[in-house]
Amino acid sequence: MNLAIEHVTKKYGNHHAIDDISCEFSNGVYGILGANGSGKTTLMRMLATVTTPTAGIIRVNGKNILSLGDDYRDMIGYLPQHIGLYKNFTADKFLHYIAALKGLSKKEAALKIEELLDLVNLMDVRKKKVGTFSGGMKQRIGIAQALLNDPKILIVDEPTAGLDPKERIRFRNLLSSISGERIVLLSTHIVSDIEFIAKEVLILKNGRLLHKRNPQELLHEIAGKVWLVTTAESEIPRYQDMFKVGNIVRSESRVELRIISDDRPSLAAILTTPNLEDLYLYFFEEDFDAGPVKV
Amino acid sequence: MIKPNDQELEEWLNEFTIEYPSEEKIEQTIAMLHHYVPKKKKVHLFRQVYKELLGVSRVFWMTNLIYLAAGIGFIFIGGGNPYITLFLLAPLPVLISLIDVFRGRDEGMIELELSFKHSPSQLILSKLATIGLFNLVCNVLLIAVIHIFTEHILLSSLLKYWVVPYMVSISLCLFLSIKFRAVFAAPISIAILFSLGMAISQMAQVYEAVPTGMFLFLFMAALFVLGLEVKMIYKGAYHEFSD
Repeated sequence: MNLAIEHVTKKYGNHHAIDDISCEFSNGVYGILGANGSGKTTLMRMLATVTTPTAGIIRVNGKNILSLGDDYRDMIGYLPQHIGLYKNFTADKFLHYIAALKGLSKKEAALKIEELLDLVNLMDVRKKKVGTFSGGMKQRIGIAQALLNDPKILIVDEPTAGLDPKERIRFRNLLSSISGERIVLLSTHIVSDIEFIAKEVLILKNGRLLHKRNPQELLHEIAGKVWLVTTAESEIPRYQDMFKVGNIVRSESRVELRIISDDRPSLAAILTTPNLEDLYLYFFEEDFDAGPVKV
Repeated sequence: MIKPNDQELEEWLNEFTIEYPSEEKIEQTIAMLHHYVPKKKKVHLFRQVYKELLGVSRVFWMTNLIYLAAGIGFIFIGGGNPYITLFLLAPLPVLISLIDVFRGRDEGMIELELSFKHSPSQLILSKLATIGLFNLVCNVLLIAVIHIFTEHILLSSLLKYWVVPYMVSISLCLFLSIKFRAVFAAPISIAILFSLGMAISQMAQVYEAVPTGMFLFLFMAALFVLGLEVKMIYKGAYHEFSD
């Protein structure tokens, strides 16, 4: 299976949501990393044929996906960022309905639904109405519907939003386990979602593709630029003004700052091994939320 | 028996040479095996829609049955005017069913449905065709019953009291459903239909005086608008979000 994006552009008025992107995908998990407004969702929507490119072509095994029409849609599974659900349907009925729209026979659907409800841990609530589900449960039923037709290309847009940490790990493992024989495209701004499972990471910024490499190659790019600085708490604002500061770990009277900088931020700074979170901070400083201070 | 270790096994195997097949032979083998790969069953869209309507949208079947029962009841038990009955009741099952036809969009499912094998446009159009066809059969049935058991139905009156109001109300409701939520469009259209029906029942003479040519024009106009609406649906004009 080969999926190729060739000089794809998507314009809304004068705004380039996607600006001349070209890349190729083969079987495996691809993480699409970008801040809000970087064009991740637009790219996913074009791959899912929900919207069409203003220019350029997307091909699967050499054929234009728009010409393939329902033959292409038959081979994809899509989980949009915001999934609407029929609130009065039970989980079971909802999946049967989606299975029908995906062209599955009743027999095929029954078997697949059984398997997927078990996989996403919703077997116990299969007869409950979707409207009563929590955010995480809705997300899980969304994942189940995306997998109903055993897609060759799985497109998931911010799939872990609303999932608790345990569910996120479970979901990551699920994606990893099914990615051997299919292309999985996962867009996120949570780096831990893709850190250990992505074959390659695509970095999107302002609609442009900055990089498409495996995580190790990307991390190599910022090797020698990530520093640990132990300092007084009162020094934090000064460092934040001068550098990109990631994690702040507090221990007794001192704090340890994780700083991304080309130059050594202080004489006491120690070089450390970069991770994908550092990489994200390196590319998307203005959008970075370091999260709560760790104690 | 002494088992050979890995190294010995490797050395022993290296004594044999196995020719790697040519690309051509590999291709030939794949082509031959292709015949034995089970083909995925294609499920026809209309069959799927029929099953879906049968299983999910009981409202549609119920409204048609109620329509037939109410029509026969009004005319044969209540002694109501068959033409006014047709005017008021005939479009109701279709108007109410439009809520179900556009339910996917109205409940925020469109983003998802656009990625499915059967696109929302295909689904909406096939649902409309199924609903329209079945409702037409119900209408013909009711008209036949009226024709056989009460009075002879005049074609020109049928045009005025059934065909034109039916076409105009449905094309209006469909237009409103494309532009707005069907759950609002259907009651608005039903309210307009009932207001007109009541007014006409009070001023039947004025309505009767309108030349048939005018009704033919209205019929053609409604047909044209319906055609445009089908084109709009086909092109996805019912999407709420903008691209």
